[in-house]
Amino acid sequence: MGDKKDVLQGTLALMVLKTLDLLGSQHGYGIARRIEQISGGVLSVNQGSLYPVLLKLEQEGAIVSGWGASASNRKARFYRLTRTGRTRLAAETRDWRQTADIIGRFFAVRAEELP
Amino acid sequence: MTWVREFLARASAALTRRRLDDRLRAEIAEHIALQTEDNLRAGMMPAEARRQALLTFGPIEPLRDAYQDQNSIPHLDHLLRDVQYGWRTLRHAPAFTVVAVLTLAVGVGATTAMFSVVDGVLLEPLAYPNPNQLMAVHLSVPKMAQKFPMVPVNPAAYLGWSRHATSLAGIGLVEDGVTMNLTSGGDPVLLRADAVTSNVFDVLGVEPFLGRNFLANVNQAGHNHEVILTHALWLDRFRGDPAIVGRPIGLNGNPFVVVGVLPPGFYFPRGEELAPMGSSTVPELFVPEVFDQWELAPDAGFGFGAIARLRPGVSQAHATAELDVILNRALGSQSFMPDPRTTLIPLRDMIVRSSKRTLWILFAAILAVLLIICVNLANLMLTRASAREHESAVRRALGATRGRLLSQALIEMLLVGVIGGALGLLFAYWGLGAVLSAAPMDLPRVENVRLDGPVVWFTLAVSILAGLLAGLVPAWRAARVDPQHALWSGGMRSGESGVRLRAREFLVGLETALSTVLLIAAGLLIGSFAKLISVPDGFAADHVLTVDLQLPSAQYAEKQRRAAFWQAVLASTSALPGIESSAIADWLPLSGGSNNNPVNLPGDTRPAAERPFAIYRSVSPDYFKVLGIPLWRGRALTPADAATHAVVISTSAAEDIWPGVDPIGQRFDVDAASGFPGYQVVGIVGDTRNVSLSKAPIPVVYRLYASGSTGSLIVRSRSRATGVASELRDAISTIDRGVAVPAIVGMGDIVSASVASERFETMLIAVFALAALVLASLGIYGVVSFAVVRRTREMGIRMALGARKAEVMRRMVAHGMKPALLGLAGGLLGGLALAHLLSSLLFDITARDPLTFIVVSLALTGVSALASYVPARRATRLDPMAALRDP
Repeated sequence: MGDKKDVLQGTLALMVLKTLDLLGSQHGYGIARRIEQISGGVLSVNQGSLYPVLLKLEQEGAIVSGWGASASNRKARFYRLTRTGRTRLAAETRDWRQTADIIGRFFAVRAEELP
Repeated sequence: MTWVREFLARASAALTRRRLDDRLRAEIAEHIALQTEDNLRAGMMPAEARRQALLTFGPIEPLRDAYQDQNSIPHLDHLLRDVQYGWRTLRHAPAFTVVAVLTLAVGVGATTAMFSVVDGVLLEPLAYPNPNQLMAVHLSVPKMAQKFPMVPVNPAAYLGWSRHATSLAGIGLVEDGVTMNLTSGGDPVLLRADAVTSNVFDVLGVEPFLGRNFLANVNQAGHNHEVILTHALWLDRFRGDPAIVGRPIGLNGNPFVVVGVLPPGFYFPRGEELAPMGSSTVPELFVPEVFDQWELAPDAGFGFGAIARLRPGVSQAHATAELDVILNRALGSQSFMPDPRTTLIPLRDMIVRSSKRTLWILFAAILAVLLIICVNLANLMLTRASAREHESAVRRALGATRGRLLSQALIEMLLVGVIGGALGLLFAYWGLGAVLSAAPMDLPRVENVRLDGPVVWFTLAVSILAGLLAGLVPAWRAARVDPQHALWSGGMRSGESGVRLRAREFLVGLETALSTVLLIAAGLLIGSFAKLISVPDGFAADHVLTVDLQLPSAQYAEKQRRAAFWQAVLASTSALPGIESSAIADWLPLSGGSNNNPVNLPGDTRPAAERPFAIYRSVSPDYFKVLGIPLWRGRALTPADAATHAVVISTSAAEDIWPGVDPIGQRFDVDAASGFPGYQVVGIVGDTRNVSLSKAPIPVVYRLYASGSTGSLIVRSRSRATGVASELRDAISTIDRGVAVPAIVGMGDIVSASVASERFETMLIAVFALAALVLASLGIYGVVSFAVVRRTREMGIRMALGARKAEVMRRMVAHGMKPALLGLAGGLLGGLALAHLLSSLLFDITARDPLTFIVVSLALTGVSALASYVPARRATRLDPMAALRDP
């Protein structure tokens, strides 16, 4: 049980960072909708699981938050990336690309090509 | 480094939890509101919009938990919660908690008190700088090695070493047991002093804390009227007045200038720690030694102790060799002590020698009691774990992880350990107070013993460790409980899992065995002590009072005056109505005095070392009457014998010195050169113990007491006379007011004081054994009765099936006692082995003294029988149906 949650949290964190990178500053609901759009339904069941991730990222210093006004003039808590967050995003993006690369190579190999 | 940042963030979040909780709630509310808005815009009805928003959001409670987990340090959180839980659980099982805490407290308290004693006396290094360089110096004479393995040094040897030894940084000479009559600062009082060479404190490496050390020239007559006080004497007698330095005080009628006061807590080795047959009292002040001319001869004066400090880097062997060479030159020409050799013994070894044995015994007792405590606790914990099996299983079934169960159990144990440890410290403090007040004065550095930092940490560490260790196995077992098993048969079991039962039985057996061994050791030591003090000392000590008197040298310089004094005292005290008879002696039996000399039989040309030795005493005619020493043959001494040099000898002297010959009429110690006609034996009296109760009587020669400057007055009072002590005091003061009359002591007290350290040792062991017995009994009782209670169901079944009560009970009792009896058997074997070890220490008791073994066996069998019987009886009294129902 624990493992699955952790992986999900890890990828979720990455998604949040990327989203904030694209949107600049956004409140929790907005981030959730955006991720839902991009990921095509991964988060459609539990939007709430976003909030612990946001808190963890904030504690790690990757994002900061502050109260502000939403589009419909409601009071909402807005989050944005910090420099630490950007660095982390770049690093994790690199890691993911590398992982995908290696896995891709494995999938591309044919049995005959092996010595 | 993000984890640091995260940790700090979590910590601060933990503190501001309320605010963050509010923030989360607000955010959630906002999120849902926004979603609802969108849903409305998408066309849903308001109620539906909100419902859909909530569904989409997901469950909130787990979210809040996860959020809160993030907002705190979960481990700390769990820990706090576990501690609260543990505390509550302990409160709800008061019997267990109280027994566990008390067990730990009593055991740890006792062992800590003892550890403080051992630490202060045995383990702490000597307080001198570079103590490893300090040596006590003796001689050894191969021909005399059997009777006298160590011989004190003499001034001739000392002077040789002090002038020529290059391997020593310094060597000082000490004469102990000097009595000084102090007349300043209060009533006259007799003090014990040591006469030392000027450099003794330099050798030891101590500076007086007031004033100065002796000057180098004080060891010459005329310059020797200086004195250095010990701190205790300075506080006690001179009220800690710093102005006393530089002022004279009256000692033995002469003024001695106080030049210095030693620092507090400074310990000067006692006479017996420097040289054999030295005194056992601690010196209270120090005066310079001045040698008489005759003492400087190479064959005279073997009665001094010497302290030497090796030069840095010099080995003991090297120094011994060099000192031997010098010794040969100094003493080679004499034949009194043929072929003397130097022996160096580290001072530390000499100082703790006498108490080492006691302390190692205590150490062993401490370990045994600690083991018993651990076993007791383990038993308690196992029992408790069994009882809570059901509860643990239910909790596991509800989702508690093994780790949580384990940590909760351990935390409970930790709590017990901490509380027990704190209580134990309190017990230790009280116990130490009691021990110190009962300790004999001659336990070295007893003033060093106190509860200090390291000991406190030791206590806490031991108790926590004991708690954890004892609880580890049961905790582990509790965590491994299978949740299924609790849900079967509602937690009812008719028997017990084999492993757990065996573990408990093993522990009972172990505990019984340990207690048996400890109790046997105690019993043997106590028996040995009882034999020791009931040894016939050869005299009747009841109704005998003694007082040591010293004549001030100024007024009593002449022999005639001294003799007149003693005669007056004898006459006046014998005439008192409450007194039957009175006598004077040079010193009293069992009070530490000794005066060994070789006996010169006419025609005996053997060197001194091979001749028979005897203790030479000087006593007045009525001495034997006062002490009740029987006269076997011949006649007693009379005042007329001053001229005839008649002596009376003890029975062992007669047998040793004149075997097979009638000693009466024999002469010895004839010295043609000085015209001394020798002593003539006129009578034989019974043996007495002179040096100690445990040593066989040494031959004694009794001469007539004439005119010494010190003497012990002993009187036998009539059976029902009272106020004799004050009458004595008055009588003496009437004769001469200037003679100090110190405390009047009963002979019986002197005898019992001579075995003070054995008594102390025995008392300590007895206390430990008692503690062990109580702890073991509690442990055995608790566990055995619990085991029987657990089998209540089984008994119910048997009785329901028709077994008779007596039969069932017999079975239960037998089964309950089995592990204890096995343990007892093991312990008896162990006890036999230990007894063998102890037989070297035991006085006059065979290591297989049956009484001890029997008593111990009976006691422990009785406890285990009772422990099985009581619950079994209670169970058989139950209605079988109730027993069946009882889980």
